[in-house]
Amino acid sequence: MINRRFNIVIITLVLFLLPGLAKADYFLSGSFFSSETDINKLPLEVSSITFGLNDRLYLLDKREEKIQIYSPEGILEKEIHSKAEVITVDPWGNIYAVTRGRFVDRFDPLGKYINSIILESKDTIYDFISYSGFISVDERGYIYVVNASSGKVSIYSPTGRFVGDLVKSGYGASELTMVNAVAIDSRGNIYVAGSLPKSTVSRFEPNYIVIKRMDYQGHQNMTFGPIINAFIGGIVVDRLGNLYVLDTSSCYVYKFDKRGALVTRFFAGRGATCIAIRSDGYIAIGYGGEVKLFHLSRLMKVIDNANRALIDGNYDLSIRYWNEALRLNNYMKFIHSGLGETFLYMKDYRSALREFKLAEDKFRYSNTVVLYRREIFYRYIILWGVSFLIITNALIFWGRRLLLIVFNNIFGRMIYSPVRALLEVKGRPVYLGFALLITLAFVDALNRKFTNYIFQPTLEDINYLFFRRLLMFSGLWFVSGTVFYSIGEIFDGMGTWKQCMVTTIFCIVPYILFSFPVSLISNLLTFQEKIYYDYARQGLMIWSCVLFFINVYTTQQLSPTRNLLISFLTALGLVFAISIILFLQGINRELWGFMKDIYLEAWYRLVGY
Amino acid sequence: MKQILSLTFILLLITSVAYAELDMSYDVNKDLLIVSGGNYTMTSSPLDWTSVNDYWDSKIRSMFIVEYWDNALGNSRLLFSYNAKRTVHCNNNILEIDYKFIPINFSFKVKLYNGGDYFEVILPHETFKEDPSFPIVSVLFLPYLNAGRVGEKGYIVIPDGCGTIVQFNKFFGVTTLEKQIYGDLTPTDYNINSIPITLPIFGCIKKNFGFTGIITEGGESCGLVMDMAPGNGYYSIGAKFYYRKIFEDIYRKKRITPRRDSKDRAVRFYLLQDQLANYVGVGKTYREYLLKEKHIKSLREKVKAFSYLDPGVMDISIFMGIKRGFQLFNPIIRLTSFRQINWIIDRLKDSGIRANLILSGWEKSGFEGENPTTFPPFDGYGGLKSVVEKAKGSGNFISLSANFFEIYQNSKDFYRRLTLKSPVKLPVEQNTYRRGFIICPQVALTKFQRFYSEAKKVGITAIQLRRLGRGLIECFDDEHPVNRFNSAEIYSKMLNLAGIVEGGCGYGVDMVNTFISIPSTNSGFFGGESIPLWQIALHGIVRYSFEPMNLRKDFDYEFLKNLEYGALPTAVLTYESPILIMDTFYKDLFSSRFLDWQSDLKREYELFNKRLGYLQYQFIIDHRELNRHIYQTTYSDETKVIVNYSNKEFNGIKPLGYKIIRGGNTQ
Repeated sequence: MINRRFNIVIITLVLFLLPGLAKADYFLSGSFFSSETDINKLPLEVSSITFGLNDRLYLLDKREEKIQIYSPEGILEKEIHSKAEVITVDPWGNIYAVTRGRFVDRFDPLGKYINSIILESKDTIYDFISYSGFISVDERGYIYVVNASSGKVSIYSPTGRFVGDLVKSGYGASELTMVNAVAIDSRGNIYVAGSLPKSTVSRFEPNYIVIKRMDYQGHQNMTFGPIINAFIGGIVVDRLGNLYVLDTSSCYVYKFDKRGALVTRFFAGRGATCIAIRSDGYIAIGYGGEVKLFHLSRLMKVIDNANRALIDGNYDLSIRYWNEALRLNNYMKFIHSGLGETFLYMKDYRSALREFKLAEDKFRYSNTVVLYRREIFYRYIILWGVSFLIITNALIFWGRRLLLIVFNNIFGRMIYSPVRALLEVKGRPVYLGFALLITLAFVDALNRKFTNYIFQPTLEDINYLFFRRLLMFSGLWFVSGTVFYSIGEIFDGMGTWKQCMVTTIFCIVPYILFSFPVSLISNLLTFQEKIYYDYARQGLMIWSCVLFFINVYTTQQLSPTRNLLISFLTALGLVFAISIILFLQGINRELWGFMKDIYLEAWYRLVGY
Repeated sequence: MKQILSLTFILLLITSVAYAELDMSYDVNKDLLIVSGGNYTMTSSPLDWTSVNDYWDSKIRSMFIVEYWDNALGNSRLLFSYNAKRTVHCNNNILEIDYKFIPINFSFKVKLYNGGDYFEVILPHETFKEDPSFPIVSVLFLPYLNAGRVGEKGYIVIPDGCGTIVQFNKFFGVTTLEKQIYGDLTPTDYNINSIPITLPIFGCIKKNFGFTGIITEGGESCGLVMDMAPGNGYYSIGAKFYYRKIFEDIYRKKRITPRRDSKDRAVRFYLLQDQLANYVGVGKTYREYLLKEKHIKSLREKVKAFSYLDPGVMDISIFMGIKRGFQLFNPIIRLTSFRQINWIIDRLKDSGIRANLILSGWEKSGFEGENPTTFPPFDGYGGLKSVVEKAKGSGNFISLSANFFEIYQNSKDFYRRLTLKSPVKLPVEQNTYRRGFIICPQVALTKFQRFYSEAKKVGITAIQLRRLGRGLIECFDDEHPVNRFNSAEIYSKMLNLAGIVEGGCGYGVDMVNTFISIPSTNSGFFGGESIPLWQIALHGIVRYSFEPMNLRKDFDYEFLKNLEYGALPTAVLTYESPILIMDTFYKDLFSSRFLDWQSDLKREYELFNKRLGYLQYQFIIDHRELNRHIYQTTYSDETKVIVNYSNKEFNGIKPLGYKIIRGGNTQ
């Protein structure tokens, strides 16, 4: 479920917020039909297209009730009269023409009639209103038919006997509510496109279309998408396992690689109705009376070659192709994902992690962390053992002395004896507070930079982070210290402004000391273990709050009730003060803008443009 | 036969002005212009028109269609010259026709001038007499001249982007398409990235006869109107001159601008026959017009004055820096420093490449940080000077890329009064990279002149003006009003100083030496097929390039397109990887690291600038499709460049390959 939600967020971001990232990498080559073809024989309505053996194109024209067979050069070879609603081709090149959902006519690759079968079904023929992409045949000759009304995929044997339903419509998390396309690849994987169940009853909730890949037993092994508010006009899979989805509402074609990453999308032109893929990677799109071919760019070819090399086990070649793809487009993050997968196959987990991080592929990164942890553990097991012995011995022999060195100072005492430490701090100069403030900003910037990226990704520059943090913490420190002092004054507290300022910043010491190690350790955690990281950080925050409560007691030296009241009012006052500052900042901007306008007006009147 | 007889009869009746090359006649009763050249004749409206209804009868038979504003209706209406009162006078080789549109009390006089090998239709401004209660919006000239029937052999030629042809046999289901030359007319929502009509020409070819229309006066405020088959069965094209603009006010009510543009309007028509009757002929006619009438220098002559225009010099943009945001502590992300540019110059020298390095993002706030562009550079004056010195020493050139089109609110000079105003007096916003405004051209000129003098002091070779070649704009601010005529004039002045412009609009063609990022396709607005009309007209006169080689999305095809269309390659390079700026507002630089592209740069330099460099001085004399997806371009020295876009071999040319036949000798 997390996986699905995450995918939804990512795709929404990619397609809506950052449309520029999804670059078109398929380009129109021209019409599929040869100019030698008699113009009067061209189809009126291309309803369904598919490529067969030797790249012959089989085309169904519903309006003129005919199936046409075109040579790879786009020359019409044969026409068959047929009232079929949808056609498909099996892996052996035989044509299947389905009429009224149940009546299947079989033809050989050259269009010669073989036989007819009737599919056994309890459903009425009206349930099988067939569109392009509603039927597929596997290499055993089993026929997969989408039932439009109930939204399921039914399987029939080559003789037409009902075998079972592959995907049933339903509202369970793993099911699809509306199935509208099915395809089978050369490895026998079955792809089914349908809608995800809606989590609310809001009519404005977008419709998420996903494509599930499953084996012949119906076990799901991959989900592609989602695509938002799409109407699927067909799905096709090429030999490398790349999936192409035609959305007839937006007329975009989406290409997903076998890892489920969105490779690209391109606009296929208004009125696109059906899709087919040729063996050389060209995509054919059917329109009203036209079939257009789209060729793939060099980048797409390189990516396909990289995937091919990966499948063949030629990892070095695959890496070369991935790097070439990166050279052509640095911004295509999924290329890093491909590289990462190649490194995974090579068992180079460290490089794989680096690539998955660059790809922002959080799930693969998280999964690889487990492998990497295990590898580090077993590879350096002797080193771990020796280290353990050294540390244990050091603690036994020099533990007390070490503890004294580490904790016998004002910062250490903030950990185990905060009251004593805070009483000490009261007498310390304010510049110590400034030093602590700078340290805090630095540590926080480091945390942002070195926390496991799957928990807290950032691309910002460390200097920029530091200065921004410094500015923010300075303001917070000043406001909180002053508010603390002011509230204390109202309640006749004993603390001076200087004492309030210094002691306030000292409450952050645990965070300064422990947050960075926590950040470093987070790099060995997976997504599922994020909760420990969150607990640790929240614990540090609570620790600081408790210290502040103690600080109120030690600095203002009032009764417990007043102590509690001051703590509460300080928090309230802090919120109020920040609100006022933000409000003043808004006015400030307007004021500066106004003054700049007056200056420029005077300048342009006196000097000119 | 019946049509021929009726034509002969008309010819006997009409007032005739006959010349050796071109015969021009006008039938005052039928508002019909007949032009003959050689064995061919064309008419201002189709003679085989069969009556449908009064509206279409009048429209098809009119030489001029007048659009006026009807206050009562709150919209514009049409009047046809066929229904107007007409008188004609013949004066030497000039026909003067007076049109009086009684219902709106409007009249104008048109001069038809026979120039021997062309005829020109002129609408002098002073003859334009309108009733203030019926202000004129536009006049459409000869909308059905040489109109072609559906199914006839022929096509319309439009310089949309690089050029497009719309065959008579295609059917798009739209009656009339209208698009302004040099970009949108009323820029309330100015889209700088849309591909405009780039040249003030058009054509209509029917069988072996056609014409080239050149808008000689008023092209800045003119549109092309293409009528397509469904309404009347004809394909045709005409020039529409705008006198006022219709716009929507803040209540979305239609209104017109009160001021009328006081300029003469004229279109010159050259007849094209036999071998010349094709889109190549249209381009060639315009080229001849530019060279002979406008006295534009050829590239060979320009190179003598500006050595950076030599075909052996490659234009390479160097992207230097950009800011992620514009708040406090937002640092500039450096992709290339001046020191690294020096290093790049050394590497270019090692590769034997002479380059004109155009620096972009060099400003204090980086690329598109604070416009209009001002000195100093973010990497220091000293660095810039050292780069200029180094370039000079190694035979290279340094130019600067600048933007005097957009202005942002964080700019030091930002002031709303300087911005371009729409007809409702509101600043026009744009959002190309960042949300901002457009600077009024008048203001931009003053600021650019100051910048230019400073740049010249540093030793800068040329300045690339971003955006300025992408269309004309007009400002409706009462303090600094600028119409499209002024805008063209101002931009021409700026381009004259700068020398390099981004975009392909032809208003600065007599000033600009190098066009960068010109459209290599049509916009798709008219449909049809892309043709290299722009290139046929201007190859050998200016240098031009398409998308930078490292940013080609369809690398192999765009490489071949460069070869086919005679463009020079260019690149946008950085020292660091552009991945550093991926999360900024500039997302187009997806691959630019110098080391990644060094070998490709050298390969393309060797081919385009060295081996084929001499072609830059030649004109394109022919362009044709030899086979499906195989095109041949022929230059004036008979060099032929054949490119194969298909995935099959053609006459020994591999898929996605090319062949160069130099003066009959295969290389």
